[in-house]
Amino acid sequence: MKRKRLTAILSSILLVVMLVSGCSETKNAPTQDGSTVSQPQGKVELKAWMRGSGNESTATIVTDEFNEKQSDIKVNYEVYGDNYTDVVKLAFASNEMPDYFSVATIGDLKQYVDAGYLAPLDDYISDEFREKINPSALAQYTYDGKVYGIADSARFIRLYYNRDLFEKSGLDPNQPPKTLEEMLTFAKQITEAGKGEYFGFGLPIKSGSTWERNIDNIAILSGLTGPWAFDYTTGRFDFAKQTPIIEYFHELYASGSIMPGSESMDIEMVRANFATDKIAMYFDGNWMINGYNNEIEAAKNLNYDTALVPIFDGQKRAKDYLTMDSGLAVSINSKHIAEAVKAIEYTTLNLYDASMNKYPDRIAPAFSLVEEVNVRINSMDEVKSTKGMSGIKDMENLSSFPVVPSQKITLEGDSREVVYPILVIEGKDIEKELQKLSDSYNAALDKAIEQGVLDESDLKPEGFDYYTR
Amino acid sequence: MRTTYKNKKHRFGCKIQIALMLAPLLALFLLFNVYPLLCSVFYSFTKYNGVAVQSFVGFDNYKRMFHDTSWWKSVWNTLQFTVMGYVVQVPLSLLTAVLLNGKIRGRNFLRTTFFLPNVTSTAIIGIIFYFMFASYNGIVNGLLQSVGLIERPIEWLANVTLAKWVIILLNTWGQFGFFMVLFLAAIQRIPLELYESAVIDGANTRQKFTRITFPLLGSMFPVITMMVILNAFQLFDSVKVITNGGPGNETSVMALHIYNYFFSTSGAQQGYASALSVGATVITALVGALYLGLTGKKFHDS
Amino acid sequence: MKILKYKISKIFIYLFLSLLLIFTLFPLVYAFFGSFKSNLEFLAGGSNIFPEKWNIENYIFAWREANFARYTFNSVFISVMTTVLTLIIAGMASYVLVHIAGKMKGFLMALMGMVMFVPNAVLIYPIFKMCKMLGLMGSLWSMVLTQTASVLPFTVILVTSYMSGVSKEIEEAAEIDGCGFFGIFLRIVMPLSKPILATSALFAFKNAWNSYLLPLALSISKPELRPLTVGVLALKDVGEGISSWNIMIAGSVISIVPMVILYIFMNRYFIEGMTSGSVKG
Repeated sequence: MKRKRLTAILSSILLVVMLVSGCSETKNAPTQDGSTVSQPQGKVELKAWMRGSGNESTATIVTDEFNEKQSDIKVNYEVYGDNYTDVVKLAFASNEMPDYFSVATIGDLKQYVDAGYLAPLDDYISDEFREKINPSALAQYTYDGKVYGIADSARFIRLYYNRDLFEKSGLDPNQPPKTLEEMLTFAKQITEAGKGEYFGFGLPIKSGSTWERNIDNIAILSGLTGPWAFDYTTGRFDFAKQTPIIEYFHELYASGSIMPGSESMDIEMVRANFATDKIAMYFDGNWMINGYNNEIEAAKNLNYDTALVPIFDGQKRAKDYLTMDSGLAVSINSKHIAEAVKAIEYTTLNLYDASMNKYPDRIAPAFSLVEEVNVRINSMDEVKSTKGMSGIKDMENLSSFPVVPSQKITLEGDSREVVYPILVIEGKDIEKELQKLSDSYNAALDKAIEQGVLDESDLKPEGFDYYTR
Repeated sequence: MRTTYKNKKHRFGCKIQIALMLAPLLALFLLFNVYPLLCSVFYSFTKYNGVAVQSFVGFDNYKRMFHDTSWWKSVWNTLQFTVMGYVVQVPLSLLTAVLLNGKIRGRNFLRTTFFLPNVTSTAIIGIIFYFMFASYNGIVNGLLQSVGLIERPIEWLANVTLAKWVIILLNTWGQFGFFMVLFLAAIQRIPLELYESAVIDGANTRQKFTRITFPLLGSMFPVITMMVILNAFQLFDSVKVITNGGPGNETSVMALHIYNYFFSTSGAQQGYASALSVGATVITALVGALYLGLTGKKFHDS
Repeated sequence: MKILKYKISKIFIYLFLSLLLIFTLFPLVYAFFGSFKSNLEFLAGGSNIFPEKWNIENYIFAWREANFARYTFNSVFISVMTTVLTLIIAGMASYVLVHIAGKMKGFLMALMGMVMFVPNAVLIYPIFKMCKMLGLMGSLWSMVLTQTASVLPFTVILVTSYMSGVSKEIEEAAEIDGCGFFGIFLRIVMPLSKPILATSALFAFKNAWNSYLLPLALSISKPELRPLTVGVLALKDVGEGISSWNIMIAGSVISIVPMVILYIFMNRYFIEGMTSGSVKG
């Protein structure tokens, strides 16, 4: 009796161990898995995944247009909102990938490339397309000399401000703050005038991306550091260099000029409060112009504009921070890589035109990576006179960082996103905490260099300068 | 075998029956519980980003866990939430169960309504709580102000202690009805004769409760305690929606800390996340053992 | 004097229950009216219960986008099947576990106790791979089996603890009458365990109905397999602008309705189940 039970236990353990060997299995080259279906008429059907809502978006509109305009390829797209990255990873794990899909961050792309899930696109990208597109759009998605994706738009940060609230508070709506000192004064003045109805500044402390949008961006414009406090002149992380900016935001916070409840607000809440005239100023991405002008129904009457992000008084303005985080990539088990690239090229080239073709009354500036598109659309009178354009005109100063080390390291310990909120709220032990951050980020950096994930020559480019990069 | 059987033939047939009755549980348990668990133990010794196992790292992930101050903070918070949850939820649900076992008008309606939150999704009601407790323009502050209980808005979610209580409140809202039902089921198992004879002996309501109801609920207490611990250790949705662990990591809990490493948008570290979850399991087992050690004997006696 | 005391305590009892009732219903009422608000009003104007303008469109949009008819069917199928399977499997296993002793049982119970506490997110990839291996992908059964497996440990522990309280003499008497092991289980133990089985059923149903991450994973290749939770949360966009919270809340109000109806309908059996289980003396 006892022995039998023992055998039962042993055999079940054995069974389990056999099954466990299944976890370690990594399929570097997924088998071809009927993810695409060829139609008998010779029309190629492609499956595509996009990030967004059930709503129509510029990406879905341009894909519809692509389907209409030609008869060889039909793209069936599926839109995923929440958990997009998880969905993609699970799909990889089960060979259920679509032919092409949007990549949320360049850091994600790197993981997919490492696992051998993406198809190199060099042989498929047409020369015509290469000539038109900004070379950075391909360079940012290049690993080991091969292109694995194509960035779809240019992203950068601007100051959004509410003209009505400026006027109500006795400020000139045509004179947004030019320096951070001025912004602090304005924020205080507006908050005082608001008497609890509206507030000077909005800071979504709960959002992880807040610190890149607010603190890194100012650090870059001030020539202090790159994103995540990485200093390209020394090739190390140096969070201490961001101290004056953190102290500045603490002062802003302590002065009561930041809307109450910001500690538990994410960027969406800040946007909603900006759109309903409760927040006078905040930093956000260029794409929100289209959001406020065309997508958010209730923001139709919002009287706002944008301006360049201010820097400290007396400082020289360095190059502006350009990112190309979102892009499209092709899965390696697609049977129709050439067709997928065709669809991607069409998307990239026509992203902005397609929306205007479909809805002629929806005027929006273009932030394409195709210079010609931007010049053509943004010089149209209707576009020039749309709301929020003041800070957009100057796009020449934008420049991207070829390598963003924070995206490629494996950090052990607390991230900057965990530490910064406390520093801004409490304003204590800033130096000590920033030193700790630098230590843990640099330790991870050394490991990444050791493992060959990062190349030292990329980290400390010769003759690097934040003003001319 | 505790039950005695008459003859050999009977015993053999019985064994087959036992095996057949146990088989479906064992099959599902091995396939969907044990196997995934062993997989995550396996991953905990690797560097793994969810897409591919990159290398074996031995005990590195575990060593790292011991130095991860944020992790220990979230462990501590989890323990706090366990105690806070227990202190609020168990008395509340027991009291409600006892009351709704008596002659109360609208008894069935109340039972049904109190249980209702249990069938809603925490992720969605969490959003509702978030807006209700918003510092600016939130309805809770609005009501308190209009009644005159407070003068200026309370920063419910920015204050770490208050935020924790809001999380517990949300958790209580979703859970107490279920515990109430469990207690009710247990109360109704108590033979009515016991009460009747107690009344003859001149016992009052409180005595009936302390002498009969409470001791005879015995078997339900360990179950409910386990559920409260389970709830606290799996606490995730409500924290994610209400504070997302912030400010900083002041309100983070184990499951959230693990989730962040598991599904981080900037470079997932699933090997480390697996090590953390093995750690979480061990911590839970310790808490469970401690609890059983403290109370197990007592329940045996009763 | 005694009557007065009794009356005062009655007043306190009703006051307490009324407060509890408000606490219970308020978030639901707030959610219901919130579901008619425009998105910006929902996000910014928290202090009003009633919407400024009633947006029925939220519901129309949610209904259309979330493919509710199909998703409701999926949710009902998954939850009902999970409940039935859980009751059968847990009922049988618990009965056996109550009656056997030894290391195997202790080991199994301890293991089940432990597994319950492993954070769910971590198990998703292996579970997903297991479904793939078993060829369950693309079928609602993948969700039924995984959901059943996820509530089984708790249910078995719960039911076992209850059944061990069911009087042994009854069974022994039945055995002398010639009832087999399974027969005793079916005819005597199951009916006696009705209260705990009813509770377990609700637990299993509710878990299956509300689970999100695993069904999301198991339905990625076939969106038509999505249960309601996945469909509803997909209504919220975390893309670039502002999420459609109002649509999502409207969607969740719709998704709660079938559950509430089912619950009210089942509640009768549930209460009956609880009371009929009381063991007399």
